[in-house]
Amino acid sequence: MPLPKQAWARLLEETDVFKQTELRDEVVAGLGRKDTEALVAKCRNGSPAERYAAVGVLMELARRPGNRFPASLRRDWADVVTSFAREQFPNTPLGVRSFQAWRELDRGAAESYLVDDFPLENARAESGLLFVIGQLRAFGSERAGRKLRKMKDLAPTGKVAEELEAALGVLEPPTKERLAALAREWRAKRTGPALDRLFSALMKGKSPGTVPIEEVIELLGPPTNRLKRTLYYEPALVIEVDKNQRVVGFHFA
Amino acid sequence: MSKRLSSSRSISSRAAAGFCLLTLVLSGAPVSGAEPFCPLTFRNLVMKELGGAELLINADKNLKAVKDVPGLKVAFRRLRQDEVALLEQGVDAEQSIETLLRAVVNPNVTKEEMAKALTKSEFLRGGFGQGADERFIGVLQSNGTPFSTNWMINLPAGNRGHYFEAAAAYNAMTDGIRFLPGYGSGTLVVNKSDVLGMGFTALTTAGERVQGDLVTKIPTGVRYFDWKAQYPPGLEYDLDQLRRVKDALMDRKVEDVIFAIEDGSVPSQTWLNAVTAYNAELVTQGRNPIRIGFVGTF
Repeated sequence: MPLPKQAWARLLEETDVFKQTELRDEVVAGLGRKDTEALVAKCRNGSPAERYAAVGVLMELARRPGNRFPASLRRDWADVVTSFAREQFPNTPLGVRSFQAWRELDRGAAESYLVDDFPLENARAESGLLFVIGQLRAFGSERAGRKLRKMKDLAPTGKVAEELEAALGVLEPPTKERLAALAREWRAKRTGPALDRLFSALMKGKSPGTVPIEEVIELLGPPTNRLKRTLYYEPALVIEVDKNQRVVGFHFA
Repeated sequence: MSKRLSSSRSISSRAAAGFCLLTLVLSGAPVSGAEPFCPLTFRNLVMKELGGAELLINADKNLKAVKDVPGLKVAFRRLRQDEVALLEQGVDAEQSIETLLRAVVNPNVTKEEMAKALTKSEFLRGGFGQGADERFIGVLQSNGTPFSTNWMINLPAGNRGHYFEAAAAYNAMTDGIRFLPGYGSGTLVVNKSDVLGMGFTALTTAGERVQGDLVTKIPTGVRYFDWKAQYPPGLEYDLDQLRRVKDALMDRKVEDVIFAIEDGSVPSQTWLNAVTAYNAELVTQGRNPIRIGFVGTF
């Protein structure tokens, strides 16, 4: 095939995933139209290793600006990766990679599939469920959150439960109980990460000028220093307020 | 203000001894146009090129922290004397801020435009740190200057001066080095090719800001994101924050993320483990791993 031969051959043989990334870039750098056609064909008809590598290379090509990935070839390739994703996600590396490619090509369709059509029982291992959770978290929408909540209701255990909790913590607004728990943690530990978790939760989704500083002080306690409109909390949080004493800025520095 | 100037003076004194830009690239991805990667270990690099007990202490700590990172390679470049001189101009007076910005950012920006975009109070204020940056970008755009020349915008965030990073980044860019150390909030880098980057200051609330605010303001065409890591000590990004930020960036077609670690900061094993674990996830998905850059000033 007319692909940049050396880099492609090395990519197929390379087992180190980080070196694979370098080699993928190398292949992309040397791709011409015929090479791209050959890669799309490899996705359809290649060996498992060739399919996996070819999907990765074409993902990277699709991210590059310009017209190096002709629209007709891109459509063909989209059909292939969508098919792989439906058949194999999240149970094989090719399925995982293909779903990601689908997401990058058509975010809405990939999300709809995962939220509405993907049967959870298709995830045959914990690692598969973790990929499902990761993708739903990355979509970040309300309906993705509802799907995660449904998964949580199935009472999973172990790593899956932990990841679900973390994902829901990102997607759902913090409850009063959650804020109170974070405030207790901050007051007990007085560490940067505890301060970050609390303040981040408090400010989640808020716009500048909407949160009264009293609300912050109530949770964080009195600041270490206060100078005019600037409050400082050890170890690192600077908060600015406007003339109405509402938070207009913050900075961990 | 006094704190900012004090910080800058200490930088200035170190600048006199020469500046060096080091990049440690996780994943070993080559840095386009950079000097060839050097096979030296970090310690040997420091011994050969720089010397100095205090420096060695920092370097040793960093070496210990990063030695087990897969695919780690080292590249370095010492700044030229004229670059150091540029830094010297920018450290002691507000007038020099303008001088530096004019030299670094865009010589055609008029004083009036600059004043309009950056009032003194805005320029020096901390807070979100983005407003001034974005206004300045706005001036450049309204000035008809396309994103096609070498620009480096790196305004002070909060009360810290970032002049040396600005100049280092600028000069790295002019030599074609694609790693950029600028880590003031809103650092935007554009060069003659299609390589654009945007910096992000060290906020562990970065996930929130990227998702809800800054990410929506990334100019079209930005290809990678420079994210300051490990400052202040103890405020480290965890796996969840890494995911949140990179996922949000992906939706803006920004796939490449580089962490900058400043001289003297010691990446914790916890943080490195989080990055390494996340990178394993990313490459499985066919995505690009997060890279780590080390910025040293000596």
